[in-house]
Amino acid sequence: MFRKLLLSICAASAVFQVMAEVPASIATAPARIQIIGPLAVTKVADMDFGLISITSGTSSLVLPPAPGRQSLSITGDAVSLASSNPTAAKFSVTGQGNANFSINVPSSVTLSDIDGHGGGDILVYISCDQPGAAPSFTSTLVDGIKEFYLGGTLVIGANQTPSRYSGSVSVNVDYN
Amino acid sequence: MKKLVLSVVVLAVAVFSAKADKTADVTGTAQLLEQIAVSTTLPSGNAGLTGSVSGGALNFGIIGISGAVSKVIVTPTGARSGDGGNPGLSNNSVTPTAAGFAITGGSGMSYTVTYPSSFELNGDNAKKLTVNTLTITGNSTTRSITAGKDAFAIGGTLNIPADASAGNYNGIMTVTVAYN
Repeated sequence: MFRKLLLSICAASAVFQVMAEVPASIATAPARIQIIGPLAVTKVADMDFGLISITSGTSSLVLPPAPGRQSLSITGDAVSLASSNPTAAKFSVTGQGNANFSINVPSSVTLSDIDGHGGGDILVYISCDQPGAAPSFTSTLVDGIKEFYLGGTLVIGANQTPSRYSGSVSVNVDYN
Repeated sequence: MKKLVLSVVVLAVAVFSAKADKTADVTGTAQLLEQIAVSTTLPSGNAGLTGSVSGGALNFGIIGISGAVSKVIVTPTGARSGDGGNPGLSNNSVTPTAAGFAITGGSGMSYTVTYPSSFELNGDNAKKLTVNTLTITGNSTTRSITAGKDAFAIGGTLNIPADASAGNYNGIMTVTVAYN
């Protein structure tokens, strides 16, 4: 009896020692994130080709993507009225200083007759003032802001109905 | 080392006594195992790991505030994605990484990895963010050691509240490994 008891004590210590010799190992790892200011794009000015008089022929009119009143370069017999004020669209992107971002700009936009005169759609091919823009581009928010201009080439078909035409261009920005 | 010697002696006593009573032997094989160890120092070339894995650092990179509740998910291969709202993911100069760990121990041994269900990142702006839904290479916390070594990586999900503030957030993830 006494011997048996002794045995169980010995066995118990053996088991204990086995466990103590196979411990867990622990490592700690850092985890991190940096959150930077929100990225936003704002329309500062609309794109406006102004008033254009047309005849029956086809024409294309180029609005440069630049600040201030623009002169349209015209191929064809359309005429940009001197009293109108063609302007490029202007956008402002704001966010974390020196952060890189990309902006998605559609390559074209369709203008529709908003006066219901039955005029067919007019296509505008969009251009951008940024280097390499196609017209989407990537850039850097120097001082947390980047402004850019969108112009376009307006294509007027034969026998286009005189009316007012309008369309919307949506641009999207994302940090890279 | 001293502890090891001591335990061998004790075990020897136990085995001896057991034999004297003709009961089953206590196996002493566990004594011959080298201790399992986990380290954040990865083998060269991150052997055994794939993707963007850093020695022990779970890095969610940089994101922009979206103003919406969102999540940033880093997988055990370091691939990052956003979920819910637009986290405004930004890779600007920082590559997201999963946290890699290197294991040494007895060849052929099975072991279990334990990591927290969630932990916090503390911002330099006194705000906190929670990381949860941690994930591990192979989706299993039971792993085995081959040729004395193993490696795994851990990713997780960072929860961004709608009112998140810009700042640098840091936290500590504790990972434990033990033989099965």
